[in-house]
Amino acid sequence: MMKQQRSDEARDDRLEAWLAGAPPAPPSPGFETRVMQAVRDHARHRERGGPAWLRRLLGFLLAPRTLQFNVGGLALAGVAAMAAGLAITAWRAEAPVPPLAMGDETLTVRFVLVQPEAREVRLAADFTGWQPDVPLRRDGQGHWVAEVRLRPGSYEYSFVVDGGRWVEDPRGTLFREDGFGRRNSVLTVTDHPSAGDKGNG
Amino acid sequence: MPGSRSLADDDCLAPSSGVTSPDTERLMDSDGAAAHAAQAREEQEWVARCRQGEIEAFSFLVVRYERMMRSVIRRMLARDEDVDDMAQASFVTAFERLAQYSGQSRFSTWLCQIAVNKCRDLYRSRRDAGGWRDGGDAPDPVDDALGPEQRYEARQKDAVLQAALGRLKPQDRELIVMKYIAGHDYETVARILGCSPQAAKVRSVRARTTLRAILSGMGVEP
Repeated sequence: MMKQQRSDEARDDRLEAWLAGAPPAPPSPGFETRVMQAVRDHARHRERGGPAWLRRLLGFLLAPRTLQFNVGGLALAGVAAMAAGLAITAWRAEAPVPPLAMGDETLTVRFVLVQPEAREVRLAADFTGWQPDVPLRRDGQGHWVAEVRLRPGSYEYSFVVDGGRWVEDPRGTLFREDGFGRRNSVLTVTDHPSAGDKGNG
Repeated sequence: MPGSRSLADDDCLAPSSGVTSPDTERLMDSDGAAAHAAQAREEQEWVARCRQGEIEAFSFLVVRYERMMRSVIRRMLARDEDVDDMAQASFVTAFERLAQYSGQSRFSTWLCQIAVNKCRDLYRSRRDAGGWRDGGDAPDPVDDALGPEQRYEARQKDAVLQAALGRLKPQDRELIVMKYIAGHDYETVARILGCSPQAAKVRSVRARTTLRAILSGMGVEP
């Protein structure tokens, strides 16, 4: 019995020694440089958003929303409001786009990033206060897609991959230096179909 | 295992320190204790500088723990191409949450906690226990600095170990990696894996027995 126990202990010791001698990962040239670049990017984008409480507040205020109007409901509400002498408006928030006023014209812009290995992709842009608030959904073929309704205008954006890597749009055609040695992608939304949208959408 | 080196020793101390104990926190001599204390102070200083906005101070921590992080992550994941991404994501998360680092555990322990969580997220996202598969055209894992014979042996051992680890359940694999490959003591392993030291001990016996059976089935008897 004792002999068997000693034999087992010796085998455990040999296994532990064998595991302890496992070769470490080989060097990865440029790893530290890449990490520090990602860290700087992260810090830069965090600074752009200001203090955490301000970013949360701005995130809430600037969170893109869609307003959908039910015409029938609105008409009925108008009748009811007239009858009661009250103005009633109904609105409902749904998908992420900026708040609209009546008469604003918006277009649906599709953002696409091909990144099969990514676990998560989000969109950060000037219209989100540079918070990566818009998640892209994976379509099963390695494409990440999000649709956002935007008014005509020019917007800067970037994709945030796996929570820390800021990636410019490889399909984009316009870029703008961000003043920190990197570029943001630029999207121009126009309501003239012939002009076409410049950028990802 | 007198004379063996562990990643915990290797990467938590300057390479020239020569500490060879397998379990630094338990068997440290007075010189080793002094070196660790000095290192911990140095790291606290770097962390403080980062918190004050000196981003570049973080690079000292990256340089110190790069090899440890990439090594433990590599043993927890199937695909070599994921290793650098996971290690980078772990460092960025560490930077992002630096304010939450209390300093009660060693910085390396805290980094390992983050790395384990990142790997678990990856397991979950792939729903296949880490997407284990044969190395295929993965880069040669063996250090170029070794001689031809050592390279051959190291490559063989590396392949066997990766294959065997791939057949373990993820929780057993984490334990083998943190306890026996990284060389942490049970208290540290428990802290990293989020269990009690007693549970870590019990699980290590089970994981070791399973690993030995797997290796035996592969015709390997360490």
